[in-house]
Amino acid sequence: MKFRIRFAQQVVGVFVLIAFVAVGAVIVSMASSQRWFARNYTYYSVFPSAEGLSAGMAISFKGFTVGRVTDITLRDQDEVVVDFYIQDTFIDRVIPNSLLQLVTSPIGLGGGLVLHQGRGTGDPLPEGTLIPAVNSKEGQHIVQNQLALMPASGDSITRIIAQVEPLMLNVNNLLLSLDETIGHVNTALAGDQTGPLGVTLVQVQSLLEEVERTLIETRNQSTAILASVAVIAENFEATSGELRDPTGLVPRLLDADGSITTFLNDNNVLFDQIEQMLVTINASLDEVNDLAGFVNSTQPQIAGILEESRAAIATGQDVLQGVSNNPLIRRGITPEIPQQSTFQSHRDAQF
Amino acid sequence: MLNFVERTGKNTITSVQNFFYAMGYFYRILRDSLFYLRHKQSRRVLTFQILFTGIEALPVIAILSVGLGAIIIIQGLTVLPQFGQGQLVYTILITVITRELGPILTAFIVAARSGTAISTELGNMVVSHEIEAYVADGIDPISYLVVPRFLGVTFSLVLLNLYFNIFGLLGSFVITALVTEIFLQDYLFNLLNAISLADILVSVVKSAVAGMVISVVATYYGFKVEQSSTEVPVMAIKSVGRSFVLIIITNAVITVVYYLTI
Repeated sequence: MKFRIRFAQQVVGVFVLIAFVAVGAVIVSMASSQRWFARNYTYYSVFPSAEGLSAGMAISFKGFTVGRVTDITLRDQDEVVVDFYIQDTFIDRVIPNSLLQLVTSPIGLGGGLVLHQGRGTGDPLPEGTLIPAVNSKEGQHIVQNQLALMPASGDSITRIIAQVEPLMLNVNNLLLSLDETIGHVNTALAGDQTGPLGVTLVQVQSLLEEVERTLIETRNQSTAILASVAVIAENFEATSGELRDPTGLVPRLLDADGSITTFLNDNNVLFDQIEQMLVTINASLDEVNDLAGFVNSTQPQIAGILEESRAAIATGQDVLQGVSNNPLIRRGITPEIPQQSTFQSHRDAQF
Repeated sequence: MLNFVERTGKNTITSVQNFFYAMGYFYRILRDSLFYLRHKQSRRVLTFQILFTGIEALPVIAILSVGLGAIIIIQGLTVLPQFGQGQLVYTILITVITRELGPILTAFIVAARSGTAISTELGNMVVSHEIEAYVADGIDPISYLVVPRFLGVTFSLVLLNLYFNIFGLLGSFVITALVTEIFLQDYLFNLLNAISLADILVSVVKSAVAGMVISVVATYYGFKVEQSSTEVPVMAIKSVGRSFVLIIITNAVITVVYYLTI
């Protein structure tokens, strides 16, 4: 008889026992590893959105899992409340100013919650209190005042994203400001604003209306002027026609018996008079030229005198202002005995 | 046209009758199983059934689970850390070995080995009029022949599934340690954190249900043999095919229920 047939009950007994012992050992190990009977401390945090969060998500501290998310609910104020627990072995890490940060992979490979311990020492936070999220108002206050220990992320992409994020926020704020400014400008351009720019633009608009009215009036006046010019042009055209006419004005003037010939046959009397007048004008022009040269040569001196005078007046003004403003001067200005200047002008010189 | 309608109606009535007959058959097995272990002689039959169905299938189960587990660990440790998700290897290992593939692969092996054996055995007993002899002697064939096989296969399948997990989770570690650097303490710590009691429970339920399906279907088709010995292999093949289909359906239903309740 085969061994296993002969000892079938023993073989089956061992077969069953090994299986049950293994299962029992696994369950005991699980209970120990997963802390089935350990005390957990519950806290809550508030996030702007539940995106990236899930019940059962691990909460890590320096790479160790210290707790898990138990529940996620949406409040009436559209705030997402995340309930979680911290294991009793890590409860002394949860001190005041501790933070909770949602870390997500930038390439969509999940994420997790990270606990940042508050600076300094202190008793653990009481159970049921708020541990603020990093991106909440309370969290930002703690971060800006450096009240929490926030080590740099080990992931280089996450670090880059963390650096880019504030930059993008600044750019976003700038764009919002630009948008707001453009909105104001648009409102001002529409003339619906009572600010300085709006008032100016309204004034510009009224000015343009005034200009338009002026242009209309000018156009009326220019029409009259153009009509006069047209008359002049017609006269000029008639004169030009006379000039072109061989029997017209010019031949009559140049004719041997015309007015010009008669006017010029006076034995050079007119010519001599004109020549004399020209000589006199030439002499006068020479004198004017000399005078202009003198004035030109003395102009820098005049300019210097004027500049000195201006500076002296300015200094005098400053002195007067200083005197009038100086509270130490109580007894006025000391009278001075006038001294005869040793300098005399050329006009006073005795010849 | 009339023949087609008549044939459809006849097939439908037959299917409904067979379904209710199978349900009544299953109910009889369950009812008799409750009082089965009171008889000392019955325990010995059950012991042999576990021996043949469970222990003799253990080498195949062990090789399959160790190979599968080692492949998952090696592939997981090679590929997943490249995406920063090295820890997922333990979740995948639990999902595949414990929750999904473990029960279904074990059930397929038992259905192929023991299901056909049970159908063939009972079919041959019908052909050789042994069943009639039991009835003539006042012995209920369901109590004496079906119930020990039902309990034996179900119990064996649960145990084999546990062994599949032991070999798949621990044996595969040994194989993996031969080809790559992996630390036992780290491996066990992560594995115990990844597994949950629900995983074990679902695995046990799946294998128990699969064991019931295999034994009921195998005995049902075994008794369906009527006269000729040529019917025996036909019924054996039918029992295996029907077992596979029902195993997949029940497995899927339990999985859906599990995911709906967690």
